[in-house]
Amino acid sequence: MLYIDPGTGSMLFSVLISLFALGYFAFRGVVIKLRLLFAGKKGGKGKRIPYLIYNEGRQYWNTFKPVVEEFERRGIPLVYYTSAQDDPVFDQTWQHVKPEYIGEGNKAYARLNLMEADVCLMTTPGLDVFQLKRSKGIKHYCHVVHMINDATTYKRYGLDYFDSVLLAGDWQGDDIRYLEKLRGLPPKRLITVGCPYLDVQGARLEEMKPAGEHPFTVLVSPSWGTSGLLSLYGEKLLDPLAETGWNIIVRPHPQSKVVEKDLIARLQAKYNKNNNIIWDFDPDNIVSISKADIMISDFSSITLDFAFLRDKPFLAAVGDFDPRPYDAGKVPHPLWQFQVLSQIGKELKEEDFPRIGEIIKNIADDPASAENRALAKAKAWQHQGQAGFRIADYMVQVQQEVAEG
Amino acid sequence: MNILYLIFIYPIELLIELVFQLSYWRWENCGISLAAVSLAVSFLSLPLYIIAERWQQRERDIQKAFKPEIDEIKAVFKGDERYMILSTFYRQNHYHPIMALRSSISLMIQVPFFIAAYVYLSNLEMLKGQSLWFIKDLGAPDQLFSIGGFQVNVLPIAMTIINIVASAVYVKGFAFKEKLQLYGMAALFLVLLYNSPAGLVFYWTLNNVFSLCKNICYKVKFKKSETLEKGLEKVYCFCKRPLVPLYQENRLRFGIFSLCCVAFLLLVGAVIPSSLICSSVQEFSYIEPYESPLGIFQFPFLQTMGIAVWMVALYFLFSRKTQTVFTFLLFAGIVGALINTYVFAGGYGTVLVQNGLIFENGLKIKNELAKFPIDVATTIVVASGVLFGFSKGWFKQVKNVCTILVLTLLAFSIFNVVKINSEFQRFKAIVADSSNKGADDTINPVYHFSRTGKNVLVIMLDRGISSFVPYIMKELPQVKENYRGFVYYPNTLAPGDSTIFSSPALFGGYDYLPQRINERKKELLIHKHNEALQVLPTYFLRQGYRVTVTDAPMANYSWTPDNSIFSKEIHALNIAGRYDKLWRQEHGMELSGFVLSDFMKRDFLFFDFFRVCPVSLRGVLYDHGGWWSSIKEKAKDENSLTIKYYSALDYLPELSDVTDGAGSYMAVDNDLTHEPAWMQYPEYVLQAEITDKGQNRFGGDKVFLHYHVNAAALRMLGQWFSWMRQNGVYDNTRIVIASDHGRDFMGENRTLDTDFDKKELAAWNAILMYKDFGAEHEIQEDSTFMTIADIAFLATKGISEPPAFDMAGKKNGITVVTGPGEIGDHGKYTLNYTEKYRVKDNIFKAANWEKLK
Repeated sequence: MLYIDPGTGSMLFSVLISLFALGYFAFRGVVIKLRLLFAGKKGGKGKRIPYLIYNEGRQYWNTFKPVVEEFERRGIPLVYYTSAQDDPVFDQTWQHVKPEYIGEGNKAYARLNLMEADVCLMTTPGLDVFQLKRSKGIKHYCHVVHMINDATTYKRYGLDYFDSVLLAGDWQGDDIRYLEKLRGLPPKRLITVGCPYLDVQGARLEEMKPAGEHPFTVLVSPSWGTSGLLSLYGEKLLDPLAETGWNIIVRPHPQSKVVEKDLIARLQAKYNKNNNIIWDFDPDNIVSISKADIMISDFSSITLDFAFLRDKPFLAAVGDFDPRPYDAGKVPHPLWQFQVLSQIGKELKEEDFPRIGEIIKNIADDPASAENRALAKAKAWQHQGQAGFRIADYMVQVQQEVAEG
Repeated sequence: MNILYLIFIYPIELLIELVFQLSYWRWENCGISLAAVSLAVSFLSLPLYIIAERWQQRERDIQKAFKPEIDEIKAVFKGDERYMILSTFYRQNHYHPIMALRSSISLMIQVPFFIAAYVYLSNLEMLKGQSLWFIKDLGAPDQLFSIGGFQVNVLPIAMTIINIVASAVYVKGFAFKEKLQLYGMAALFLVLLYNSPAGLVFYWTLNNVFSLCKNICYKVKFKKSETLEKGLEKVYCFCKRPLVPLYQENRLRFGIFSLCCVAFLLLVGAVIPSSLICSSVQEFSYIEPYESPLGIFQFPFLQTMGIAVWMVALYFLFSRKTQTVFTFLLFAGIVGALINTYVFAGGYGTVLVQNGLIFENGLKIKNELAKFPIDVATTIVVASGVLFGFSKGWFKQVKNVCTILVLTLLAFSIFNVVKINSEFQRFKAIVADSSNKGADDTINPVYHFSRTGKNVLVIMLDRGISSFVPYIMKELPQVKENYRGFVYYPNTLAPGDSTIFSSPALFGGYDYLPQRINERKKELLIHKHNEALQVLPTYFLRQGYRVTVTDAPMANYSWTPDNSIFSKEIHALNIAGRYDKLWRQEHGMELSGFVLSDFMKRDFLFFDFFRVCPVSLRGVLYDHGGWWSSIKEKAKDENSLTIKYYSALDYLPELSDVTDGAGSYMAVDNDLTHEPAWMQYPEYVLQAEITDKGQNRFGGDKVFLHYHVNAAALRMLGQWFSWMRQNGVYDNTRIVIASDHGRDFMGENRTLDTDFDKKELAAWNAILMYKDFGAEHEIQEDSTFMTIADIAFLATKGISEPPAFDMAGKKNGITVVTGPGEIGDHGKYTLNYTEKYRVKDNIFKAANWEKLK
């Protein structure tokens, strides 16, 4: 039969209690010692990449070029990952720069999501929002803006999860700060470094030195998509322009050749016989920009590039720009790009098309417009010609901070 | 029962059962009990509903605030982009889409309550045949009328109408989605419950009435009754200062709380049940359908885990203040539970496993309630002690204490489980040998009597009461007739008061008295015990006898005798338990639906709480052995052990045959006298319904119960002797009947003729009856001072080359001892005893008992 015997139970219990008390404290002591041991070792190890650049496409080479050159000049090792197989970085040999093609899209993101680096510089927005996630091994993510217009023209939440953003002008920071507050995000480091790709383009224009007298040239440079100039207006715009007899360079967005093939083919066929209409599909736009006296575009920031690089006016058919997909939809003012439009260029509306020649003539000769352009350029593009070394300086500084913990 | 059910639903089912039983005990009306369950469940879940309602409201507010933004995102983005932008939006607003489940939380809360009630009430036997108002039978659908052959159940329809009204009140002003959800639920319940027993539907209808009242109160904006939470917050305010750090530091608070939950799980769910099983692994083995006792062990463990899971769930449902009080109460509760378990362990005597964890000596609620002051004092000391510790800021220490406690309990549990497993493996090996255990459908003779040679038969009746013998002989003349030739020695002493002390001397003689066993300090106790059991078989084998040993007591120190200790020439096997199935069939006592493990599954948890609960409440919890189960006590198989031994005696003639040739030595042990049970008067026959117990002239109920089994045992042995006579083997058979010890009846045994009421005496007074070859006289009484160690001598007397038994010491009296009865409580080499006496001559005279140091 069963005899409950509490005596033995409680005796065993008290013996076990004291044994465990002893064991527990001894164990905790060992744990603390082990932790110290491991922590000490951790500091000694380190095969991390100190500086990493990721370029998501060939078109951004101009943004990174001054930075890469600066690292090469300073003799600092730099790892350069690119998703463009034809990235111009491969056209030269480097001593301190290690370029590598890591594939496109998810293949590249998978690699980046597991990278270990102190500082990572990129132009790709939407970090930790879209497929590109923050890697635990990358200590500092740094975004460099690759447009001269508002920093809110990225898709929603575009810059939210970067540690720092490198700006072309101080003014771009105001909206970023506003959004941080609105979304309860920790403040990012905002550093104004200038605009690297404009530095590059400016230098190239200098080299070209366009010849003095040439026929008056209009550059039509639309964005792609349903709000793009060509898909919205097409012949309605090109017909009156063709009639002016000026040189008209039509330079569709590289993406249009892919998604709007039919439209482009139709328009090309229609103006086949117009000798003054020239189609330009060169990925590099600098030649067309150097030839143009005025630019016609839409909401694209290329208008500002043109205005600041060539100091010439532009017409922008901004139409019904829908800011909702962008961060711009969340700031309480219209894009600065549109605010300055009337001062440094002119908004083009559909009803203006029949008298487009007249409008172009008026604005080309407007001295007030030139003055405003200078002012706007000074505000939007600070530290002209200095972006490369300023970015390098900043990266070195951050890397030191990271390394020192 | 699957694991998830045990963890999530079982605690609620238990609660429902308790409320039902308590109210039934008070009012004896199923309708009222159902109402009580409904009321209790509704009230207990009310705080949960209030919290759920708060969450739901928060969710509704959030959804409302998010709506414009979400609409915009949906309008502007598509595909993967939309998903990723939405995810980021949620992330920035500290929201996760899974939180939307909060809006269905009050529905989800109903689910476990519903399942628990469904499982309990739809199977409740008590409801069957009970009527309530227009309902004829609460155990079946009401079927009030029928339309064209279709039975219409009114109650489920009424329930649904009330449900819809309650929902209509609730969803006023809510989104369509929520409305649809609730009306859908109402319809679902109609389908689910339409053909359910009326009792269950009645319960659910009452729940809906309650829910309707609650919803009206909510909508009319009565003051919310957050009874439980307000109450707990009051506790918090009262002892606020010491609890402030606990309130402020979430991690510390949850750390202590979770450690306490684990400690609770280990203490109640692992240590206590495993300790109980450890104390007698064999009894918990082979409880169908489980082989290992660990099969039974899983139930209290998982059920306790369920309670712990619910505690954690409740913790997170409530506010920080309530969590703080929870933590304080739980920690103090654990301290109290440990004190109750190990300090106020109490002596409740033997637990009868076969009857579903019942104390042999019973437990009186009144006696236990009288211990209330102890509990009050303990509660005050523990609560103020814990508060004092908290006020001193010893939170780290408290956490460390909890950690140590958890580790200790864990080690204790693992130790027990390993021990259970290893003992079970040993037992399994014993059982695997068919001579030890195994049910047989046909009876084959095992006791072979020689017609031509001499037969020697030694019968041991475990715990047989000597002083009953004259009464039985007087009461049953036919039995007396069967005992012709016997001499009854009333003045017989056993050297110990339990089998472990006495059986070696009974079968081995004076060399195996407890003190002689302990003198051989370097030899293993188990070996000495086995050696004693083999003294007579080996001797008779050498003399050319055939030797049969059945149910050798504690052979190889196993309660189920391990006959591997005997050589192959000795026919050793276990009879007890071999034919009980057959006997049940032949006597119409088949087990009907009784499954011991079903009781174990439930009662074990109650036993665990019995150990940890305040002493004064234990009697109430014990509930006269019913453990508040809805399954009535009578359903339990109280006879299982009795039948196991009764059948072995009843079949003795069938188990015997007569042969020519060599003589036969037979040793028989039987425990019927150890398992008190009522028999049918006047023949003391075991049957399903005992209608006449005869007149009690012997003492209390316990004495009378023992009398019944003693009378039955002697009667059946008498039948065997009668069979021997008929087969011509009575005269050439020498018979010794003895018990290894008696029973301490605390002075209640009126058949004992003594000049002192020394309680121990009864335990040491053994049966000794002896019939030599050819004796035919009427049963005689001889008051010579005898001991059961004389049996070996009596059995071998006059047979060639009798062994030398050292009986010289008997003249100066022999030493008798008392001590624990379990094997595990003795040393590896020696027996442990707590008291010893030197006794000589007339054992009924106080003067002849000398207490030894």
